[in-house]
Amino acid sequence: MLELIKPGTKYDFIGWRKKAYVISGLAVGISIIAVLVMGGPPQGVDFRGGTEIQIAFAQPVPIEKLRANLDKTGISGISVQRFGEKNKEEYLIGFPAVGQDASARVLDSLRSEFGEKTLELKREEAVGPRVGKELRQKGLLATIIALLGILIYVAWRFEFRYGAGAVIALLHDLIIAYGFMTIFRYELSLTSLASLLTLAGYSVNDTIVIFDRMRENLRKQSRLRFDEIINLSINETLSRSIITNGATYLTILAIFFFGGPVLKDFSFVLLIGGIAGTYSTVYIASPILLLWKQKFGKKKK
Amino acid sequence: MFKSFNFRAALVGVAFLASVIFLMPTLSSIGHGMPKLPAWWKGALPEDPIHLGLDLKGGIHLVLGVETEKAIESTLDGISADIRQMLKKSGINYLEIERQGLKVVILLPDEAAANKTQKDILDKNYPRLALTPVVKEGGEVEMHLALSEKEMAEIRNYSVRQGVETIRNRIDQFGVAEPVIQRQGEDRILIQLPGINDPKRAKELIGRTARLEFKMVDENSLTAEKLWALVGQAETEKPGISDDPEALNKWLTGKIPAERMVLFQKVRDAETGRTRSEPFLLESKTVLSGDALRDAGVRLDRQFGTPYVSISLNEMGARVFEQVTGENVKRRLAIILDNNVHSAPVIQERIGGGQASITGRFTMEEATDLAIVLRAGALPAPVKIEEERMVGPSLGKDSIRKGMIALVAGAILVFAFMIIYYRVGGVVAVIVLLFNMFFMVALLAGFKATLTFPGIAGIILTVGMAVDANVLIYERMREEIRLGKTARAVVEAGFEKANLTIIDANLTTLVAGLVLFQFGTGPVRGFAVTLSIGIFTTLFTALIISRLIFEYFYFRKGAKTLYV
Repeated sequence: MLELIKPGTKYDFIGWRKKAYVISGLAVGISIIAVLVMGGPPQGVDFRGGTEIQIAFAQPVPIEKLRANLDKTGISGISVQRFGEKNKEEYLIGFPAVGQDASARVLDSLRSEFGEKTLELKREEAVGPRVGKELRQKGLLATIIALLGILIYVAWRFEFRYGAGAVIALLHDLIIAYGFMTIFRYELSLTSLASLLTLAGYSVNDTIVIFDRMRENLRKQSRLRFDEIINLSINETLSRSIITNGATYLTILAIFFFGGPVLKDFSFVLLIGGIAGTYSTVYIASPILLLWKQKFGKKKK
Repeated sequence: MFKSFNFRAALVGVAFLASVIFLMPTLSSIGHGMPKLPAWWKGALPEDPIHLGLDLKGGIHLVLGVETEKAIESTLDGISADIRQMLKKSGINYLEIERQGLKVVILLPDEAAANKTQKDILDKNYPRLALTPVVKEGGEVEMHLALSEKEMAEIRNYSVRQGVETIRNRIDQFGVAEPVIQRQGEDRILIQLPGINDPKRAKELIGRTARLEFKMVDENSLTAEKLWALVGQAETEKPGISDDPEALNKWLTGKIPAERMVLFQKVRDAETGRTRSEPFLLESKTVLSGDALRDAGVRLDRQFGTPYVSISLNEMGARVFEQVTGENVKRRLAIILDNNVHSAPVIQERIGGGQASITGRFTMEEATDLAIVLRAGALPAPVKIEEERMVGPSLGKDSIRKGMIALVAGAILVFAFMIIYYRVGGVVAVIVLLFNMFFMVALLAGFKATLTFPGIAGIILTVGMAVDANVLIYERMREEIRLGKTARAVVEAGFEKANLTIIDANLTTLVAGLVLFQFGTGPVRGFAVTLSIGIFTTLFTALIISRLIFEYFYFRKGAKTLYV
């Protein structure tokens, strides 16, 4: 039988919690500072509004020539960058204007210089100011509702303090994922927001498995202290945590490496969040229960 | 009943059969030696393959905002033109009548004229307009006419509804397979055109208001030089004003004769590619509008072979046209489309029969599209693009390929991992995972849900997360084995103890999935769909199918050693 974690481990996770607080505090602190200083991750066209055009050329076109051509269109705030795989002549052109004229002007100008046949329009996305604003509001609302939903579900299935522990742990994961997106310039779009919410679901998933074991052990091992129960439960579920997260991680890596640029932002959130999530389940969610009990612990259990 | 092995096995059998039925159309649609649907299938069983989102299939997604305010304004413009006619007819002396914002304002010299106007014209013809007379210094009376809130709401509502109809009409005539055209909320129209990859042409076809008007050109009141000077002056005072006909004509009021307006003819120079605008002084009165149109089609000029649009008028339109052309021989008649003068030919003779033509430097494509929009009728209010997403066919195919590679790579990694770690148990987990993926795709087809690119990511993630259920079960079993229990007891305890944890852990992900479904649009909604479906299939396959497999070997066959 292959065993990554030998049964009967007795790691003192609770004993290490002070060190864990420092590590988490640092990671969360750096993330918050990065978000404040750098203004959060770059906003995708969904939230920022404006137009984005992805084009491909049949033959190499130097970006300088492209830029010179685009400058001649007279569209303000126009930007161009390489996109996608290295061996492909693909570019992403962006500008704040939305409407019939601007994108047609860009394409006409490029076609007249580089030839009708060599240029292929792969994707065009335009989001007007009204829709952009709505998407921002809806995105924020969705995040809040998802967090509340999770809090309510966990509080209902366990107790309120378990819900609070789970939500604090998942906020920890979300903040770190958001901070990393900011630092490494991964775009905040509808898709990456979706992966943030998925991360929320997965993060709690992990936490619940440990909470579930605690609940069971509290019933079974009534002589143990609460911190001993926590330690026992984490140790007992350690092997599962590592294997499940490993398997999930393999699929996220597959998406990251094979899914192409569209899913890069999406899988990046889950890559970072996955690590933060596994760690926070052990070191954040459970110790918070202990802290909670010490602070408000008049009630039994 | 649920305890019964046979019952659960039958349940799985039924689910499997249903899934095969749902997936058959998708399989046969792939072609390449896949089985074709037999004749008896048609009509009795589902025939639709899995619906692909625009991001995989390629196409255009547009959200248009209808400027409903403009529909109210043009209703009021119509009312004020009618009242002016009636005032003239009944010989009432009026100083001014015009629309100001969402009101029609009539300025009358004295109370007598005001009373007569109210009694003879307004009360009779517009009893539902709210009327507020304001007596000014010197006895002049200003009458303010406004629509009620309810009527304005009706006009707004109508303009969106009619907009949907008109656009559907245009798209039907243009010919697009399976278009989606629907109203979204108060004042938006959602349009999805699969397989269309020329956004410019599509937007021009859909977004054009296509308001056709005929107006007489006034060549006598002002010289061309004077007109150019006025336009130049307007442009220096307010740069860009000549792009906004309404603002320009407001500015020109008093500087040009009454009941005249200025519109431009845009001429594109074929050599430089620049457009040049030439102003026309027109009589404000519209002699004929697009409402009088019966049909429009493309014709080729016999001499030069250039395309033009020929229009035929309905009976009333033809009569008016004949009368107008008869009365105005040797004058110019401007043909105006969306406030742009298209052409202004000189009337050579009275034109009967209701045939006219719109010429211009059209390409064949432009002429075809113009004929379509004229046939389908004008939009009651202008629209503007609020959201546009277009994916070309090559990118869609590329995404499908990338998604499949990621799916296969992810699945192989997970399968290998599980088999290496759990051996026989791993093989069971892999079988369960295959069932899981199979059911997921079948449910997608069964629910007629849309599979998008992020949706494929949802399937891949589900593969990773679904093993959690098996891991939870196996880790429990290992604990029970260490306690020295028999194989049978281990299987029983493993499932019993893991069940609740598995359900709890999966349902929290469902919370996130449902929120995403509510909030997301297009591709993201596709992700929420696969994620949520994946949770149900994971619960079903892990709790029922893997248990059946274990029970079969350890309860029925009496196997003694557990390999997990």
